[in-house]
Amino acid sequence: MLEEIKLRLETSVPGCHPEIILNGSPSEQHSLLLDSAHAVDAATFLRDDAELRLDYCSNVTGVDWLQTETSHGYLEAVYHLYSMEKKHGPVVVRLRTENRTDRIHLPSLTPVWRSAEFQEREVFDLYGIIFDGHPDLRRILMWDEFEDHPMRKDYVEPDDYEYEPTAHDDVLTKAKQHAPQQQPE
Amino acid sequence: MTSTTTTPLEEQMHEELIAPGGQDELLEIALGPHHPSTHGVFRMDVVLDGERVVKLKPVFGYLHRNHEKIAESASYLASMPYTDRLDYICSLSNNWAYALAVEKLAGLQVQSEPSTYA
Amino acid sequence: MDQKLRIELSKQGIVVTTLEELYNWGRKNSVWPMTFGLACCAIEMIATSMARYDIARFGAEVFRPSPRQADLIIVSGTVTKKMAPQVVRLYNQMAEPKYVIAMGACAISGGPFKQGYNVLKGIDRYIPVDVHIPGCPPRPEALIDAFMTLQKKIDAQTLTGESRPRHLHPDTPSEFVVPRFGAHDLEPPNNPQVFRILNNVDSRHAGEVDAGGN
Repeated sequence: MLEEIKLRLETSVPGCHPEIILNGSPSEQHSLLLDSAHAVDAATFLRDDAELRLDYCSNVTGVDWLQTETSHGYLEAVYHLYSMEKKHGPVVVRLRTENRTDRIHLPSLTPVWRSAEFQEREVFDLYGIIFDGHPDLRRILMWDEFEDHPMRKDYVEPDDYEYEPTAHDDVLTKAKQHAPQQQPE
Repeated sequence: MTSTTTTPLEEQMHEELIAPGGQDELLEIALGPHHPSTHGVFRMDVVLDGERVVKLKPVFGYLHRNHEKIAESASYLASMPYTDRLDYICSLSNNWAYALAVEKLAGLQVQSEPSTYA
Repeated sequence: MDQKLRIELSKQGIVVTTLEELYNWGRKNSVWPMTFGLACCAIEMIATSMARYDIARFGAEVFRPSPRQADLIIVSGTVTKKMAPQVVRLYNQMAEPKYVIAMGACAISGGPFKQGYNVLKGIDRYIPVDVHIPGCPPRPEALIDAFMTLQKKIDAQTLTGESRPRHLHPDTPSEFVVPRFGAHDLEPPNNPQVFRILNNVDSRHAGEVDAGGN
């Protein structure tokens, strides 16, 4: 089914070349990668097309791909789309940023599906992807003065392991840094 | 981070968030995270016209317990009890959804009829 | 006074008591909690106040929604760092004498969500806790047992002397510092006057008795 969607997107939205990303797990839930320039047009087509009618965006999450030898690392926003009218789905759509550090802008799909509004705020809060065109992009789960993006793989959490009575493994190493304050059991 | 020209959707949402001043006085109150009417911790900034709520802006995150970050370092079975506490009023449905997701991901076929043990 | 003599006199209709006993008896049998449920332990707290495990028979007759009218705050559920300043503010707004029960593993030390960037690892970092109830979630009977422990603790408080409780001491603070939202964590991460790490105790609050009655 994703091949058909890809063909129809290529014909209907000029310039859009979606890619199918294969999912290696037994669930075989393959996803469609869209590029940032044509994302809003492609999303509008997916929502309004007579056969697809994917009018319900149920979930928006983010993925943090760290830098490896082959790629320079990027952030992704993943959208799960269902169709309430035709009762099919899910169709998984991905949008990818170019970089993990400074080029982290993506177009917001809130004008297409209103239910993505809070979810994109959550992705911004936890991953740091900035959505252009989002009406109200602020932090939603953490407080406004918070400065990190916690779900990134290189996030270091604050050190409040002063008192750990049953510490083991890495918690023990963290607790030992406060050792002068805590007498050994 | 947002551009200077606003899209129609942004304008519509800005209009919705700003209270229309003029004829009546509208009262803006924060029904804070601790209030008898909020189930759990959930803050609402409401704009009231007398007793009627005209606009509402929800603020949440007061019970963000980072299940996803914990699941990054726990196995599939170990993050099962955490799904109980996602929505603690209907815990079993969260468990079921998680079990379905893991079974789909791993390609497990689970028989639906109960097996009889000899 | 000798207990047998007291019983004999009470059979004749004469009640002998001390002012301290009367004061504590009145206070311990009418501890009114505040409706403060944060997460899953709140469901167990609600279950305790319902018909089967009735906590009203122990004196917690009404759950007051306003902190100014409540004696006890049962911190039930995970305290997140976003919510922690509001909990401390509510505690500051309560009138003395006030007590805190930390219900559930999350309120004691962060619980199962301890490895979290948003979870405060125990409410006793900012406010002094009187009774801790372990469990995830603790059964209603455990909450009733904690309530009875609190009642025993109130009974043991003296009116005069060095070990009198906090509200009768003019010097001890009854309002604690409210943490502010910092860039990475709350500031301060704990209140050193309250969060006394084990074996490093400098000075105890006057009159504070732990759950064993010591």
